[in-house]
Amino acid sequence: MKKKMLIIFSLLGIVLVFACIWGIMHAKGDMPAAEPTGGLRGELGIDKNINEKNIDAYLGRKDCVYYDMRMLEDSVRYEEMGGDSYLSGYIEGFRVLPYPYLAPVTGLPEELGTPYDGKTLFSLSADGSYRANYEESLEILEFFFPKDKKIVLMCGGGGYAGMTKELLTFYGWNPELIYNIGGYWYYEGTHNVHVKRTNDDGTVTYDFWKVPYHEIRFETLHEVHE
Amino acid sequence: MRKKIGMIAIITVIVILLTVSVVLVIERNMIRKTGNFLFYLDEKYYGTGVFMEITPEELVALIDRKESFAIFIHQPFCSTSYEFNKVLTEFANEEQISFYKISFDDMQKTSLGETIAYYPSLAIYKEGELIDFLDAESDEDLDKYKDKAAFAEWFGGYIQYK
Repeated sequence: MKKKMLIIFSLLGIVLVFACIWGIMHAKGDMPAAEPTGGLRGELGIDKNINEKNIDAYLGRKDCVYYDMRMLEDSVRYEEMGGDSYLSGYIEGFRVLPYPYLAPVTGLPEELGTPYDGKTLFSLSADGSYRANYEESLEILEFFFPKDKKIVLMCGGGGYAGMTKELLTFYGWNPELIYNIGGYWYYEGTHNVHVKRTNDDGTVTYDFWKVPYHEIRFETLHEVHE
Repeated sequence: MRKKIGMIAIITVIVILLTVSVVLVIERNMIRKTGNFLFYLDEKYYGTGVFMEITPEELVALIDRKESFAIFIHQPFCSTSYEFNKVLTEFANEEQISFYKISFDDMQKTSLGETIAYYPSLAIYKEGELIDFLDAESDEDLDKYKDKAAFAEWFGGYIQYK
């Protein structure tokens, strides 16, 4: 009897150890420092440790802010590359703040058409330096991206999020606290909010009313004159 | 005695589980670059440099028929995917080799989705078996996405040209 109890308790002990290890691995403890992954994805600044595959484990943290940097409707013809120029969905917990309103979009092939070329909070020089176009530009950036929070960014494929990280880093944000988790088009988690809807008659509509979206009214801001 | 047998059984189970895990990890990594696989694609893929978009069902059929082919997995990746598009297109035109093409979403519905996690990618099949593929997260593969010569060297390490 004693020996049977010993075996049972041993098995329970092993299960407990594995449960503890699993719990430690999935606990919402400290997030690893932001670190770019390798290869092509790394060139966009997509993070090695926190990305589309495991972001669900890092949602809803009070020490983080979460932004999806896409436009609701992008002027870039991403369909030419097999993508979607419309925000077809997003991850619950992320707020949408279009990067093209922050600074110019660069690096896209001409064949895809012209990216948004309207007003932006910042200009980008050929040497990679930014310049505020409005007196409120930096204040707006600090409002959306508090420096005392970890910043979790995403977009469609990781590009706009990467550009956002470059902008923030230029203005003194700690890059180790900015996570480019990659693209919505890779997301397979359980917090997917679908915006694109295919109707019974085959037409497609986009329920943009679902999207927590930030608009920047440039006409209310004060331009910086050189 | 029974106590000893029980402890041995528990330790044996743990060791088996660990061994299986390690073997699975090694097996996955051994899909890439193991040995000399120089071979010809099926005849119909030589002579024209075209890209043929296929469905998941068609990809499964190719694998079931044990064909030897190469397939480009695509989807928007901002500018970097387009760059690889151009490298691949130039290569296909020069070498007159045709590729299949499938979207990442569709590819995930097939067995290939268990191996390829990110796009863009190019997968090489020999007689229905996946031989190698480009990994968008690998530093080792970065030059093959950007430089036609590097891509040609990698591709030519498996495929015989005509």
